[in-house]
Amino acid sequence: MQASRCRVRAGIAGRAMSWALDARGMWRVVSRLPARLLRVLWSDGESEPRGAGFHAEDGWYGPGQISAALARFHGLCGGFPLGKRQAGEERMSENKEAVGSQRTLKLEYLTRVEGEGGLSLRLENGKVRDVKLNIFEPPRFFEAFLRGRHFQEVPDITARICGICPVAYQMSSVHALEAALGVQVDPAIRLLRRLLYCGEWIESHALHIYLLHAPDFLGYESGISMAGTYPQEVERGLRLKKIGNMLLELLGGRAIHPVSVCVGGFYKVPRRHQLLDLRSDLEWAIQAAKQTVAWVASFNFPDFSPRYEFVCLSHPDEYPMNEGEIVSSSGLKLDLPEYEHAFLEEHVAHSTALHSVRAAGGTSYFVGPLARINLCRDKLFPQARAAAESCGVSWPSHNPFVGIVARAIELLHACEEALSIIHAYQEPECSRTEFEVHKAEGCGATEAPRGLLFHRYRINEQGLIEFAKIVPPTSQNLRRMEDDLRLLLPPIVHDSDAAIARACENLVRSYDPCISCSTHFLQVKIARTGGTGH
Amino acid sequence: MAGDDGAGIEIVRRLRSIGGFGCRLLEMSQSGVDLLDILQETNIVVFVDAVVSGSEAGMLHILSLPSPDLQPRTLSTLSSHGWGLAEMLDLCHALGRPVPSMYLLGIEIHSTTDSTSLSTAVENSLDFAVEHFSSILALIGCEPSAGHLPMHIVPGRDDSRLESLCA
Repeated sequence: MQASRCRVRAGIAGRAMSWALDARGMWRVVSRLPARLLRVLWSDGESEPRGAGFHAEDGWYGPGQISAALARFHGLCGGFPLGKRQAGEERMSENKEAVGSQRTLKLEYLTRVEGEGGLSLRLENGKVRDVKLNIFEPPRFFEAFLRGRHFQEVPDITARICGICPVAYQMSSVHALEAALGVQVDPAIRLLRRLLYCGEWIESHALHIYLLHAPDFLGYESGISMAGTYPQEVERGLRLKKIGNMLLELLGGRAIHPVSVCVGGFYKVPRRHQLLDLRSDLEWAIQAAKQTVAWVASFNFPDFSPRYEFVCLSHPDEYPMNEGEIVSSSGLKLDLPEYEHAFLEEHVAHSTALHSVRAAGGTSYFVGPLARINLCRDKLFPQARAAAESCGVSWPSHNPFVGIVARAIELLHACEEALSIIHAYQEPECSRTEFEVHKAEGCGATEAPRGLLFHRYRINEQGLIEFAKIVPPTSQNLRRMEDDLRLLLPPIVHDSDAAIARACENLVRSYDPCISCSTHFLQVKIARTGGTGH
Repeated sequence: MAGDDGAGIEIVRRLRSIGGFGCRLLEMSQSGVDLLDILQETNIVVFVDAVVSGSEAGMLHILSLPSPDLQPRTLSTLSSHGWGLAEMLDLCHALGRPVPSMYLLGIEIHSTTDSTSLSTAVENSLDFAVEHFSSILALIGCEPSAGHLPMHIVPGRDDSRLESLCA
């Protein structure tokens, strides 16, 4: 399905599969998809299929109907046996009996990671032979959904990609569309957008730090079991998350999938007194965030520091959120339109999420809070910068587990900046900028809580989307996660299956992956061969 | 595109369009952590959600929570984001937070696959639930002293049973 996404995105004509095979293969995978879902995959913008065999109100296709439907698809190609192949792998890996020197380990699901995913490890004679981070959530059809939709629907639709970071998708989409249409927003609107983003960083980082990642360092199975021993800390995290939600609700209209963001600004902006009402909460949040930094900086971090190429936005005047050029720790410096020349997406058979690599060399790279702190900490607000300097971490850090400290520092920065914006806020005369709609194409990138999020859109004269490309931060980190796992495993291959699975989970969780985003879900399966297995 | 799996949200939306039930009607499509705040703000919470128990499609289940009869679907590892009700209740207990009285208005579904429409049985069930929501609230309000729950209603067959209890 991700291969089809690549081809639909590229507008590649023709079909890469043989007719008969394609129909059967497609039907096995898509037979459960309703007709209306298949219709959105038309790349020519048509909303209704033509040809025999379609029943618009019927939710199900049979093989014959699928054959007719496939005749109308443009640019779809193979990759569909993924589901069947994966089922086969699962059945094979269920056999845990050692075969010769083969060792098989399974971890059904990686817990405390947003979404679902699976991890397959193959160890042979004590060596790591294969590592596959399998993402098997249903593919996200959002890039296809958007075709034919009006551009003002894009922020609301893309917000549905993620319930934890909807603002990130809204911000990247409006910046891309505004770049296309030549829209300049009012400075007050620009600040309100940063304030909205601060709210999302606060709630996302607080959730991950306190309920998802901290348990790993303290030896707890989950944030729930940790809460029994650390109730004060967990309550602190929950209140921080709530404050982030309050910002989202005030500026966005609601905390989950905000509805006030539009191309050109907001449908509605808050009154000054409404924002000032949040001051006391944010003043508390700043102190709580400082305590958070001190708490997580005291954790024991595994000694694991691969050499990464960190990538993020960079702005001359502020900590990166909504604007900037793309930079990397390897000296890369480019404007947003050059992103797709420097970074490529690849389809891998074991995942429904695409993997991103550097175009030069095909290597993995690292996006997220650790990248931002490493590359842009001089732009942090004062207390956050002071906390970064005094927390005991030597920056730049290449230890992914230290990401929890980076998140805590950003949590503090977001609280500081939010309070600063609120103090300075003056209600704009208009909540959004008027502009002319015309045929256009543009791109935008913002820093989601989990890293760089890139969007590109093309619209026609009527303002309808002709093309959409969305590259989430988690999919950009997937290849890097696999590379990290290959480095992590050799010293621990002789450990028990449970210990290996736990170590792998901990590493993947340090990235705070949002698997739901990256697949527009974690089972760990470890296959061992060789005499060193258990 | 949630199909029958979106039955709960659909009921709430219809109820909100009618209004006047004397309660807050909230859509909580995801992020169980945000449920925590809701649980602290009230004495009674009624969760409206699709359920899969093997019963007749469209059957309405009214029961108090937690219940050994039905486990929230979010307990499974198939939930895509955040934690579910069960995890939030566990967290409340771990933190020593009080929990309100909780009930479930469950709509039995047979399919959780994507769809832009509801099945006929679920659609009929939704119409019944919306039409009789005040009675359902009254029934819940009588608990625990009345002891009517759990109750399982097939719209079109058990209508009078609900009304007789609330009369």
